Order: sequence, then C-alpha cells, then structure tokens
Amino acid sequence: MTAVVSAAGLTLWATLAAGAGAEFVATIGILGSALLAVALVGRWADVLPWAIALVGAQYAASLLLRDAGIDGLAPLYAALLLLTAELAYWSLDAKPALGGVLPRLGSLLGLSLGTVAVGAMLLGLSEGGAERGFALQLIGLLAAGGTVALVTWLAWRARLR
Amino acid sequence: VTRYVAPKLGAYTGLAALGLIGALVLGLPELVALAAPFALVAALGLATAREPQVAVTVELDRERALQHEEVEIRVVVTGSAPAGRLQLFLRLPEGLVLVKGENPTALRVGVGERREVELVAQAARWGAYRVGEIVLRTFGLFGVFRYEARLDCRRPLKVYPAPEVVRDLLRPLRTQVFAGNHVAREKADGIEFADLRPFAPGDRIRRVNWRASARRGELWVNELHPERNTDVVLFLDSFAQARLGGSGTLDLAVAAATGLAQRYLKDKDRVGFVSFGGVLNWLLPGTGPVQLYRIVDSLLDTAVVLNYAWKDIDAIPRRTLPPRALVLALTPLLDDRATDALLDLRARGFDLAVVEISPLPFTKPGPGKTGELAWRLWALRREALRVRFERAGVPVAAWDERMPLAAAIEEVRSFKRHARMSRV
Repeated sequence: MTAVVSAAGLTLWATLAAGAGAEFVATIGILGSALLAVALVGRWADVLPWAIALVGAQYAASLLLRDAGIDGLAPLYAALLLLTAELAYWSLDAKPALGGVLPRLGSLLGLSLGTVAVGAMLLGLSEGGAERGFALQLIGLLAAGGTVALVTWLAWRARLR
Repeated sequence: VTRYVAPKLGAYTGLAALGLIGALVLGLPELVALAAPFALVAALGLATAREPQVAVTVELDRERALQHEEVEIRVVVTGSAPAGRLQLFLRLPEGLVLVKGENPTALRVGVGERREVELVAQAARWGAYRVGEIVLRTFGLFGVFRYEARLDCRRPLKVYPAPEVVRDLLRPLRTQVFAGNHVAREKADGIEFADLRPFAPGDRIRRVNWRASARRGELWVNELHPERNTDVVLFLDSFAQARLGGSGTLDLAVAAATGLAQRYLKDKDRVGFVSFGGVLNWLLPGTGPVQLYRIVDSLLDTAVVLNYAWKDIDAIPRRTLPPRALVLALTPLLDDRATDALLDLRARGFDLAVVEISPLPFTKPGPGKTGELAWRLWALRREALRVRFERAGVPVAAWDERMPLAAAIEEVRSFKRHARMSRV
C-alpha cells in the first residue's frame, strides 16, 4: 500500500514538473502505479519491474517535455523510486512483519539517503559533459555499458553458483 | 545451505541497464542518477554476499511427557560468521501444538554470539516424536540473495497417552499356575474357603475342620481356593479407525489399553499385547513395571497402516496367546479381518471379551435422505455384528469418550456373570 502511495506521489511530482504534455506524463504514471497495485494484489513479483520501469519512464517523459536543463532533484526522485521498489518487494515477503518493521524501515531510509548522495555526485560529474567534447561522451558511454555488463555478469555468475 | 537468487536482483539489473541505455539514447544525464541506485544495490548485494555460518542445537526439558502436558523447547543459535537477520522456523510434528513463543521468529546473530529461542509446545496427541527440524532463512545485506538451510537437530520425545481410569477389572474364566491376587476355581492351598471333604491320608492336621468333624463323628477337612495370577492379552485392532477432528477410535483404544495394562500389572497379572492390523506387533505376556513400559512403548508405535492383505489369527505367534488367557479386544469393529480373527479366537476356545470403541461419534450421515438411510443401515449392520458376537458367547460392550471405560468393563462383566459357555 505504501509502495503504491509512493508511486502515486512520484506520478504527481513528474506530472507537475512536466508543464505542457502533463496529460501524457500522468497517463504513463497512472499506468505504472496501477500496474504496481495489480502486481502487489496478485503477488506477481515478475510484474513489479515493469511497473517501476513505467514510473521511471514517466519521469524521463517529463524531462523530455520540460526541456529546461538538468533537473537537480533527479537524485531525490531516484531515491524515492528505489524506496518504492524496495517497499513493493518487502510487501511480497511471506512474513513482512518478521524481524520488526522499524529496523527494516530505518535501513531502507538509510539506503535511500545513500543513493541520493551517489546520484547527486553522478549528476555533478555529468553537468557540462556535452560541452567537454566527444571523448568524454565516449568515456561516459563505455562506463555506462561497462556498468551494465559488470552487474549483469555478476548476477549471471551468482545465479550459476 | 542453499542459495537462491531473489527476483529483485534480475529486476534491479534490468532497471539499471534500461536507465543507463535511456540516458545514452535520450541524452538525459538525470536517467543515470535514476539508474544508479538500482545498479548500486545490485552491485553491493553481489559484492557483500556471504554464506551465513551458524550452529543450531535443540534442547527439550524432558524426553518423556504425558498427553496434554507442556514441553519446553529451547533452540540455541550460535554464529561463527556474520549471519545478519535470521528467520528461524521450528517444524513441529503433527500432534504437538505451540502454546507459547513465536514460530517462525526473527533474530540477529553476530560472530560468536549465542541466541536462544524458547518455545512451549503442548502434546495434543500421544506418540513417539522427534522434535527439532529447523528451517533457517537469511537474506543478504541488500536482500538480493536468500539462503535457506534445513537442519536436523531432532531430539526424541515420547508422549504417553493419558490412561483411562479403571477400578474393577474383567477377570478371566481360568487362572494360571503362579501366585497372584485372584481366587482360582481350583482347590488347593489358599485362603478362601471352597468346600468340605472327608479326611484322607496325607491331609494336614491344620486343615481339619473341627466343628464339622465333631458334628459328623469323623474327620473332615477344609478345601480352599488358591490365589493365582492370570494372563491377559490386550488385542488392539489397528486395521482401520474412524477419525474426526483431532480425535479418533485409535486414540481411545490406546488410552484404554494403557489404563487396562497399568491396572492388570498392578494386580500382578501377566499382560501381553497384540496390535493386529496392517502391521502386526506383539509383546509376550510379562509382569512388572518394565512390562508396562514395554507395552506403552509398543502402543506409541501403533498406527493404522493401510494393508489389503488378508490376515487371520494364524499370523499371530502362538506364544503371544497363552492357553487360559483372557483376550480383551479393543476394536472399532470396522474391518472384517479383525472381526473374523476375533470369532476365530473364540472358536479356538479363548476366553474373549470385546470392548467396541464406537466409531459412531466420529461419523456423520451423508448428505440427503439417501446418506441418512445408508448411515442407519450401517448402524444396523453393526448391531447385527454385535449380536453375532454375543451368540458366540463373546461379551461386547460399546464404549466412547463420553462415558467412562469402567462402565463398558462393567457391562462385559455382567454379561459374563449371566452367560454360559457355548459351543461354536
């Protein structure tokens, strides 16, 4: 329930930030939130990533429609999106209350704050990246590809073990 | 320990990839910030994944308990590597009910730390249990892995049935040759007066009845009944049982057998035991407290095992059923094999009495008029079966949990008082 409320809040945020074309952004967000609710009610863990992706996509759409430079609040949005995902997976646990709610909630908030810091750092690095030439963009491209490849490889290895 | 990958890992990897690719394609650096937390959680989760190492032991406050008693179970968890948040579940065998404590429970165990979980279970049913099957579950630091282990820390727990209280026992027609508490029909050295007869050479002077001798003018001696023991064989029919909820005819039969064995052994009788069913189990007649423990242990192993093989009384070893023994059958009269075996015993001249553990309280008529009619027909057939036993000279008394066992035993006693031995 908290996850759905959080997703709805993110939808509202992106819609308000979009300006023109807010209806389109809102539609994607509502679709994502509804899908999240359906996944939680039906306890379908496989549907959850699609719902989170839709909520993230509406933010991307709002950024495209706004066209007003880098959004400094993006790390906060990212932290809230992660929090939404964590809460959603938590609610799919067989015994969500086992082990105490408060300690787990505290660790989730800590994790979200940590990701805000990481996001802000990344955003700071990327600021003015376009003006620093093609080479830097290529490094960014390779870094992104490398990160995805690394995480995928680690995950694949872990699954095999 | 088995490691499972949580669905979160794949999802977060995919979301991070999607965000980074989106950032590159659309030229939006904000999407990098959006993807970064998911990539970070996945990467940190993979990097910090460690198999938990904990030692678990289970302790019981006792190894033997009576039915309905409470048993304290202590689960001790000691960590030798950081295990983080552990979920612990003690799989309780059917028949033990948790009355105090949290199961499953969560606890945090550090390196070298010792944590204890205390649970209290009530023995709802008799039986030989093994308590201590533990399921441990822990998640990695970021929840991308799930580690599960099933540990066998089982400890034996014997739950003895609460015995039925019996005051007066059913006596066999004939006694055995050893000294006991029952007045024998035979005449020999004893205490109870039996008869008078003329003096014969070899008779002891102290057995002369002087008053009768003075009246008749010649020596007359007292004849006495000796005090002997008896052999009793408890015959438990375990072919089938009627069960409803947490109770059944087998439970009642076991409680009755325990009470009867206890009472007969107290009177210095030899008690044997035969569990006649899918699995044949027997115990030669014996006496004393050791025999009581043997019988109760055998009773704990009694279960209804489905078997289609036709078994007759020849399957039972001869020494189990000694001559002149009273065979006291505890049966729900649900299986023809047990019924035929009992009638066969009677035909072979055994002193037989049947306590019918009534299955009626454990059954319900089927739906509709046909179901009710079928149930009534079944009940009538049972009546006919009872009459068949009585015609063969076998006393049958129905017993269920709503009445004391003593009432059923008294019913059998009164039948035996008024009945004559019949040829079958």
